[in-house]
Amino acid sequence: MKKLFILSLIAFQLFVILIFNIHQTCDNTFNYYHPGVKEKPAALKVLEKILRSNSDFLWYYGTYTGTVTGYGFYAPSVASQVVYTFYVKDVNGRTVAARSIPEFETQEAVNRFSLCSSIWLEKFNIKESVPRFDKLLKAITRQIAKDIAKNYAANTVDTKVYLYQYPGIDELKKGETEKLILAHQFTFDNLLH
Amino acid sequence: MKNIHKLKKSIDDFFFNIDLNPQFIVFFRISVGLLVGLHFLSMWPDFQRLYGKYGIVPWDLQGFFIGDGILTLPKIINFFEGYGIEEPVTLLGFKTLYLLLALFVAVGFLTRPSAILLLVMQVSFIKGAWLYTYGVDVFTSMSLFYVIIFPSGRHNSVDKFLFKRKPGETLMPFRRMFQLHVSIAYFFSGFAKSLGNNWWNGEAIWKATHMPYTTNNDFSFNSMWFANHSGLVVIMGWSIIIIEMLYPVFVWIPKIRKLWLSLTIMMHLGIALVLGLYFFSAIMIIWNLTAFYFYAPVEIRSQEKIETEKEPIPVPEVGMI
Repeated sequence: MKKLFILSLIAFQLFVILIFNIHQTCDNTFNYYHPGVKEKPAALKVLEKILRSNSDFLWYYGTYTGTVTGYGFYAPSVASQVVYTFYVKDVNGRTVAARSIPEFETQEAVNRFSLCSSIWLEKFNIKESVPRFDKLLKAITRQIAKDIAKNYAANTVDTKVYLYQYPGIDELKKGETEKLILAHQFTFDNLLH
Repeated sequence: MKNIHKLKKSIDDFFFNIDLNPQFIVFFRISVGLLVGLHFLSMWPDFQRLYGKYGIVPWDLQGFFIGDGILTLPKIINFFEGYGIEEPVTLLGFKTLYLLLALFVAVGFLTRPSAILLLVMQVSFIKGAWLYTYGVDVFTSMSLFYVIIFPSGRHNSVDKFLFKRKPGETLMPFRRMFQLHVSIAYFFSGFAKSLGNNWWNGEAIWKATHMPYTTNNDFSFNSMWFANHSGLVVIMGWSIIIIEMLYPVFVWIPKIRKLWLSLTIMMHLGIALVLGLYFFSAIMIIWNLTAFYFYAPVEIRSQEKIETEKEPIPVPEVGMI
């Protein structure tokens, strides 16, 4: 009986790992080769149906076992990065500082915080305006600007969101340099209130 | 019927019929406990700004995509605020308890309850601020889950000393589950990379070493050197796909296992040095060593065969490198 219990646990754990990974690999690959296409292949729909039909249970199980993830790190391609530049303005509108992230005491915090700009990649992938999501992105960006402004007792921060592109080896040899493609810009006022 | 019996026997052979040296479980528990503690300490001064209810990105924005059923750190803070305990006090208590529990796991004191509570706390802060989550966090959750389900407190632990715990369970099925998990993880990691063209032409390596936030600032590693040796990035891209995708084949072959384990560990050391992902690399190295370092898994003999031949149970081969 105990053997059966252990084997069932192993089978279930491996099933969850496999199903999440097959789904994520297919989904990422489809999105990579067909960006913005909403109609997905039948196999992917079946996988999504399996995941959705047990969504709550699988979600909680996956969350507390860490298995709610795929292992395709940096796959199928290394994604571009999104970078912020926050221009802190004084009362006369002059730029007193330009920062990409708030100041932290530890490198681990810098590493972690730098991940939060990648939420913008979701917006670029869906290629259409989803008002609720756009509001969320603006609110998150405003909060970061507010934290930076606090250190300078500034009230206004001009924020630019760039897509960062580094040239390939061949492009670099031809003299091309890194590109910052402006994706969005905001001016946040009344940050001290 | 004969086939069913044969299948049952094969499953039994694979999962149960060997007594294992518990070194792998002891190594896993101690290294996971220490790594979880050290990782937490590495962001201690900035913890409130990242994970506090009113951190840089506050809880209501971070909680946008999180279901109600997950216990998050902001919910814990809210709960204690209901009793007049302010956020800094709750956070100090949270941080202290977290470190203490990591230490308990490492020394094997109240191992299972400590690991359960530690997992709930770890999930509470990473899910409460999901914008800052990366690979090491999910591997930490998985590691704590395995500490919980393994008989971790029964070997070389304070629990064993205090409560006179005796090793009562066969360790093989736990080891097998872990080995299969690691093998699946590497296969999918390599397979997913193989589906894009950037890993085959080396662009992925080039790009990863030139991202503004992912390059290591601790060493003056000049990745521009790659530009003059562009063949090297192609070789590295191919090597990573091959090492990862063929991991579940070669790591199970005793004669090649040492080589494959060494290659995999070298790959993770490279990730640590080039991308600065020290904790992620460390946890992956721990997983590799736990799964395949301490003995040769193919030396399985069925209990039936052992009894028939009157041969002793094979002694696990300890210490491969």
